[in-house]
Amino acid sequence: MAEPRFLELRAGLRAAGVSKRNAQRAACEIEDHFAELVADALACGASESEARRDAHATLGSDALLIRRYASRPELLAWSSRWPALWFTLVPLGCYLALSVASMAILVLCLEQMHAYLGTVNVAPALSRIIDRGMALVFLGLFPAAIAAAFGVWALRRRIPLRWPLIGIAALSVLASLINMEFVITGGPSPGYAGAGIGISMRSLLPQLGRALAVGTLAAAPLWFAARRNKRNVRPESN
Amino acid sequence: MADNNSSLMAGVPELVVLRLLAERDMYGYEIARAIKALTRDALRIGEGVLYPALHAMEARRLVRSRARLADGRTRIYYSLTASGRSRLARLTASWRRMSEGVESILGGTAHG
Repeated sequence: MAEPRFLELRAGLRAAGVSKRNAQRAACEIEDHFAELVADALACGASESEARRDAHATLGSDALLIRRYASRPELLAWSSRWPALWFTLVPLGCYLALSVASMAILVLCLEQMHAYLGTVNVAPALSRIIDRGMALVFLGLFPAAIAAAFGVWALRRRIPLRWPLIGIAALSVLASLINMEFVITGGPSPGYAGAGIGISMRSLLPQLGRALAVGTLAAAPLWFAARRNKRNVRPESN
Repeated sequence: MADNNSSLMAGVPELVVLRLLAERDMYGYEIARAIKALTRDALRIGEGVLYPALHAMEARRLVRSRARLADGRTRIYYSLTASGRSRLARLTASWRRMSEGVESILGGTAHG
């Protein structure tokens, strides 16, 4: 018998930051407990509806249960246990890992295409387009997507928004400090890929602009999700 | 319901659950029923307290859980670990010390 109450309980526990495993187990065990209470009451001669009503009453309020789970740090997911760390530093690590892995794959592809590239000449305009496209993906799309994903995650877990916002700012600044080049020329020198990190007074303004653009792109989904949440909150009726 | 001072009662669910599990492996409903029966309703540890306490004790490795098929149902049975046993010994000693202290006041032997 699938009681909607226990599905809601599991969702409520997850939203309160309880780890997936603990939320799942709590909902299952409490549902079993409910079934045992009903079976015992039926055995004592209660009607089905009485037994179920009394069992619900014995279990008490879900809100209280969720609060009790949420008050025990050992039962929370890492993201809720250490939100400052999780939503500010982990996005940086994810971005660096994704960039390094993608760059390694690109270099590997370039190595594999070495023989083919040696026989063709890539027009400089096309090479520039590829280079700009790669920069857009690595320095714009990757950081914005990662920061936005962590932001929405924090919102769903009811984490104070200062942490994902700090994470978005940090990731935007980091991405703006990175310079990368991906050149495919073809012919005797097929091309190369490289990246570096640095800051100079000459490039300060464009870097700030990039950081702002990435930050805005990353914060937009968070802003929309927060607005939607606010609209969905209904005034409580008695 | 029995009188229930929350700060006085804070460590009681853990002590009681560990003590019951020291006897034999039990599942959640069985623990709740045993507490009710053994204390003749003087102590009520509701489901809202029992399960968070059990899961927290498991996270702290005081108890371990194992799924078992019984009466056509898969039940999660809890058993005490070695750390759970030493925790039980410590909690029992401190509970006895406290209750003896309170008892000596209630019995009027505290004033010389």
